Amino acid sequence: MFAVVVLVVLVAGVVYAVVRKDGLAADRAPGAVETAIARRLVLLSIPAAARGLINPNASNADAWRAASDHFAAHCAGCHGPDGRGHTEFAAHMYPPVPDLADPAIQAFSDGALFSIVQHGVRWTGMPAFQADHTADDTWKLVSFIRQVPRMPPADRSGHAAHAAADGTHTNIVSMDGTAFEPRELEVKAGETVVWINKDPFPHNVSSVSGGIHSGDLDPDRQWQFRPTLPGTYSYVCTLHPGMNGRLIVTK
Amino acid sequence: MKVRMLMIAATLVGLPIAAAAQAPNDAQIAAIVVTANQVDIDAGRLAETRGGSAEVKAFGKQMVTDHTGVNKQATELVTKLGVKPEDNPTAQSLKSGGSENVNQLKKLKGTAFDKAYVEHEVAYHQQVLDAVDKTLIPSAKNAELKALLVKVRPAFVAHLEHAKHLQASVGK
Repeated sequence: MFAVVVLVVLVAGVVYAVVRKDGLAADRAPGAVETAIARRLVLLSIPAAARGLINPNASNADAWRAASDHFAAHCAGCHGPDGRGHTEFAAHMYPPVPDLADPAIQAFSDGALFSIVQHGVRWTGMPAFQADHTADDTWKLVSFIRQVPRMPPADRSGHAAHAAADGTHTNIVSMDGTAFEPRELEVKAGETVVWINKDPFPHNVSSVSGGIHSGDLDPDRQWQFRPTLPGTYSYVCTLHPGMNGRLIVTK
Repeated sequence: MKVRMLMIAATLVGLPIAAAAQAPNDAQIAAIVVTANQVDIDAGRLAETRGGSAEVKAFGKQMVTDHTGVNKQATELVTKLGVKPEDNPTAQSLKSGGSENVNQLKKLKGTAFDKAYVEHEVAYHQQVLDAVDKTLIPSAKNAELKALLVKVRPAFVAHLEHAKHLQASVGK
């Protein structure tokens, strides 16, 4: 009993010291130890019986397609249309939104993924969707998550375009041959613009004003941005002088 | 310094002559492309460690990343096409010019390194662009190989601009 009390006091002390030192701000990336412990805790919090559930669509290779619209409407806002987590929010959340293709995420069992979508994860941005999902919806999303690492870039961009079908219009600018194509794009405020890097080296999308900052995007990676303020925004790739484009946002 | 200038001039003149003597075939073009990228990757690696300014180090790192990306795509393409890169005088002269440059750069550090490296990057990208425009694109037979050269060309132009920009600021 005494040992337990000492342990609890020690742990509380460490937590207190860490919080005092680093604060609770969201703009610091979690360390490898914290990430490993947190992922382990998430798994431990799911009852073994739930973790062991098998996806009823396991034998249906096309089940993920039925979840495309659903993913685009509910999940893509944070996880990105391709599930890679390259969104406006993803990098600025604590913990950051994970890349669903990450082997550490793919190592979760079907049952664990199902449980996470249904119940959410406390102390992260992951909400519980049980109230407005049927179990069947969620299992199809699990199939979709399994498909994420296998989605070729073309399929991913196709999927981004697909998001247009449910009212959130999506515009695509490709970065190809060290040029933005189309070089000038006009969109309505609130529409989503997706930049896709089709070159074999990184590019970025950076504007002087308007808050367009993708960070460096590796080949086949994409970044989306939803401008809300009307105006004309000139942007460049800071890595390649002469590579520039313009986004015109109308009311 | 004089020796360096002469050396750069020699490579500059040497490449188009060697290439123009006989139009290279696709297998030779593949070897030229891979070598040209590798030469700049090697110099970039050196700049990452020996560079004086943060800008030069970052430029060196980007050269490694960009040219590695191009080489990866070029290698994938020739593998797909079943073309085996074939050594030739142009590739050889690029290679020897590249190792000469690396040997010179290894003797330098800090601002002296930055100056010599950036000066060579300007000359080298100009040289490679000339070869791409005058020899490689016109000679490439396979449409996909030609398309790859056309696709990556603007990046080399951007590198040249970037290097010229650095040249104006280095050591100031």
